[in-house]
Amino acid sequence: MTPEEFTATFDRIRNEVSRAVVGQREVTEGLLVAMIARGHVLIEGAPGLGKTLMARALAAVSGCAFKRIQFTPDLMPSDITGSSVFERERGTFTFIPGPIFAQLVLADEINRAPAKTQSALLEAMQDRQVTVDGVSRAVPHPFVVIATQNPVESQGTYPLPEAQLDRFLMKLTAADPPAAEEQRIVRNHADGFDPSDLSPLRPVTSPAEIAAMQVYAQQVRIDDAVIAYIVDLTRRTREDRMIELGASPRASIALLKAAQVIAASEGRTFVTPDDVKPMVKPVFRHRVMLQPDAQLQGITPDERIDELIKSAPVPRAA
Amino acid sequence: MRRVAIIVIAMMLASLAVAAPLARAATLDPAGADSVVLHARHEGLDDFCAKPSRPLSTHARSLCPMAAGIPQCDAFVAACNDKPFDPDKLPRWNLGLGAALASLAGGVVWLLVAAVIGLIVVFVVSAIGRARKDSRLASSPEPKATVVPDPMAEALLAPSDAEALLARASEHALRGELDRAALLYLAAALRALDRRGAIRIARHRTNGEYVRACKDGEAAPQLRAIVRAVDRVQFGHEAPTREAIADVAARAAWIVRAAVVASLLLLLVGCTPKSHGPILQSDDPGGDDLFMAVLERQGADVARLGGSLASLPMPEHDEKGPLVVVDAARTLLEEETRMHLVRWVKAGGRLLIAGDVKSWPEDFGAKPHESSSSKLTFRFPDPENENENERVVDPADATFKATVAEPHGLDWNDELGASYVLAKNDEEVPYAAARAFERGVVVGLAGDDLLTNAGISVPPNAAAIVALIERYAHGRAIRVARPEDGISPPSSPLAALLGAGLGLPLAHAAFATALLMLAVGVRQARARREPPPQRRAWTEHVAATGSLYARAHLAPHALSAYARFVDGRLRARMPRTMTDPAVYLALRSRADAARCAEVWALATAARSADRPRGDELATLRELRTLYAAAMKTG
Repeated sequence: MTPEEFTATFDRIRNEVSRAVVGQREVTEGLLVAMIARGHVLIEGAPGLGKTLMARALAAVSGCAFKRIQFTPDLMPSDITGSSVFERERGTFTFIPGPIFAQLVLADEINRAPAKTQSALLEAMQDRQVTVDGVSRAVPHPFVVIATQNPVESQGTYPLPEAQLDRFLMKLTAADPPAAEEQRIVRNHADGFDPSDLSPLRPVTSPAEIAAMQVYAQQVRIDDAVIAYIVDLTRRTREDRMIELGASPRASIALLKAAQVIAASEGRTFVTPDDVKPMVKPVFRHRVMLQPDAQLQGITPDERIDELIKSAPVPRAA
Repeated sequence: MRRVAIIVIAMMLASLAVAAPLARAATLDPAGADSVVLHARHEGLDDFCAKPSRPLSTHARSLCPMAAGIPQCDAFVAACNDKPFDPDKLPRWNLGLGAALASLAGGVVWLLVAAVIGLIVVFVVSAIGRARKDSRLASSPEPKATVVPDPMAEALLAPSDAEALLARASEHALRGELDRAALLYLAAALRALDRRGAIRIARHRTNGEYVRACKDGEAAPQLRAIVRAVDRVQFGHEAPTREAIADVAARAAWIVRAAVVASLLLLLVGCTPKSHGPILQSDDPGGDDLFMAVLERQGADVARLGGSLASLPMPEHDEKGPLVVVDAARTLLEEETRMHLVRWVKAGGRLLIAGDVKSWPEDFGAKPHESSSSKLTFRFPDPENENENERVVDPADATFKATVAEPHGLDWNDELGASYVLAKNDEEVPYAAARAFERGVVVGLAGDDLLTNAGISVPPNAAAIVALIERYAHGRAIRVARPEDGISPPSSPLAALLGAGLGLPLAHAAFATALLMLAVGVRQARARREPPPQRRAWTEHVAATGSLYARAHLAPHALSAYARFVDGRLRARMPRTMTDPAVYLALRSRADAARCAEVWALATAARSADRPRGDELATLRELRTLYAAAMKTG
């Protein structure tokens, strides 16, 4: 794959998704970046902002096998992973795969299921395999989990444990659209747009091409100075006086991968600090835990990360 | 080559700027002055004749005797025949309204003063509060950077000149160090744009952010191209080619030189003669617009003074300073201004002062002299004679006739030194005279009629006044004082306020501010029983609420509410394998597990409707201590 081909495919996917999803450009782009960076995404936002639609549109456009899991309080781990069923005729147990065995899995309202069920995703997300009855089975490639959740302040929710949160490459926040874009959304619906029917979207790529993009993005060159910049940013979250729990080395790796994809999408074969900066907040915001004092002062993780970015000098020389 | 061209253009512009004032120092022509007046009136400066502002001011009305002598000035003549305005005939309510408005204005001023003081106090108190609140957080050290700044990157933030950076970059390029050259070219471009205010350099900004934030629309594409090339070298590890670096160098030079040219143009604008505002048309017969226009059209460097007479700079020994023209009938001279004028004249200044002899500085020694004739004859001393006050030559061509509206005369006190009479009326009463004061000269005219629009329009008055100016200006610049230039500027803001009559309100404001500051200071410095706890706001809230409940004999309710709060917080932080908050509380606070369980049982058993047992507050306090310890260790 050449840089031009990568950029063309990236733009094609982005433009096709934006036919169904109006606004939320940042979230859409984040989804695409995470997909190519072999990561998983957590989308948080109030109900009605198109979180599920975005995931479905990406699946439709990318041509990936898609499964949706609606998380509920009574959902069991086996409902996700699948289970072995006894066949009387053969007298043996046969494994019936669960919805996790898809290329693009939408874990809708993930925080509505208890921790036991949430953790059923852990192995699949980290090791890309599922172990049931002592047998490990690989999930298809590419494999991306897109989880959505409403803000934790809503009733009847179970906050995701830190270990689970760390498995997500980035957390994207769906914000209310500006007035002009909201008018476009309503106009589209008035003109007959049906969010449950995404058949007008055509697949503009294939799983094989996405796998090739993943391989290409991994080969994007990254200078030592930029790596030092990434590590510096991560370490600052650990040393900050207002942050109780900082980002882990896994966050540094996630930031590196995301920056590589951004650089490739710009048609470059190398990463600059300019590729790193816009990814810092999506990669860090769910990994840092603020001190109670900072929370009492109303400081948000995004605000604190902004301050850290401003305090970190940008490398300018090789 | 481009650099040479810029320098040549700059020198040409600079020479033009220097040549401009020289060209204006031309010789005045008294013979042609009256025709110049007519031309100026035909070209628009005729409002005082065509449509004068009615009713005429007292000053303009005093010029009415000359109206008939002005060619084509019927409207002014008609205005002179209007019935004069009588302020005594104003209705009584009008006077009352004025007094009411004055009181209202006074009240508004007081309100403004109070508002300003209030704002200051609010700012001070809130600043103290914020400082105290943040003092604990501020004492923590800032995280240290793990990225070692590169010395080349430091070049960006060092106060180095863009041109110097460009030169250094060129040196590196010549030596074949193309990667370093590329970086320095980028640094030079950024430095130039920063100087110009198009971007703001900071350590945390990326090159892309500079491009996106660049406010200079023309420089942004150039900077983008430079950044792309430099990024390829820096982060892409591509070997820079000479062609690529030459392109970067050209773009960086374009950005840097554009800044230089802009600075040069600004410098040239600053070097050109200062404009003191356009000479505006006027519909006031008593105005001096026509007087200035005539001098300007004859090539004199004439302009408004542009500052107070009390701040005229003292002339140097060899300096050929301007001739300053003051119409004392229109420009009220304050005492400080008069004193400064005397010092300025003695130091070598040249002053032409006209009208209202009583308001001139006393040190000039001039006194009004009664007269009844308005026909004047000007005779000037020999211009070749250096001692202009002693040698008198009276050739026929040095004599000018003039007519004024009101007969005035003046006497110079000869005890102060010899003076030379320049103009007398038909009764041989001096009207204009000149006197040397140490190194300077004062030319006095008993009336200001010849400087006014109406006065200079009466032939042959223009010739007389232009001849007078020519004799004493000697190619110098001419600066005409405005009515407000007689007021001395305040030496300080305080003096300005005192001068405006705000001394008493100022004293009140200062007293009130001091009182409020003292009150705030006392409150801030008041001794406290115990140092503020870490989470002061919350614990104070809990303590206050608890006190309220205690006073209302609602201790069971207080304990019950606090226990519910602690229960919720503990459960939110508890591991999923743990179910008993009391155990978690004991583990986190490292307190005795049995005692923790006992306190927890007491707290959770409390109900709002229970009758007080007496130990609720003690239990609450103990629970609070345990909870604080549990949160602190976490």
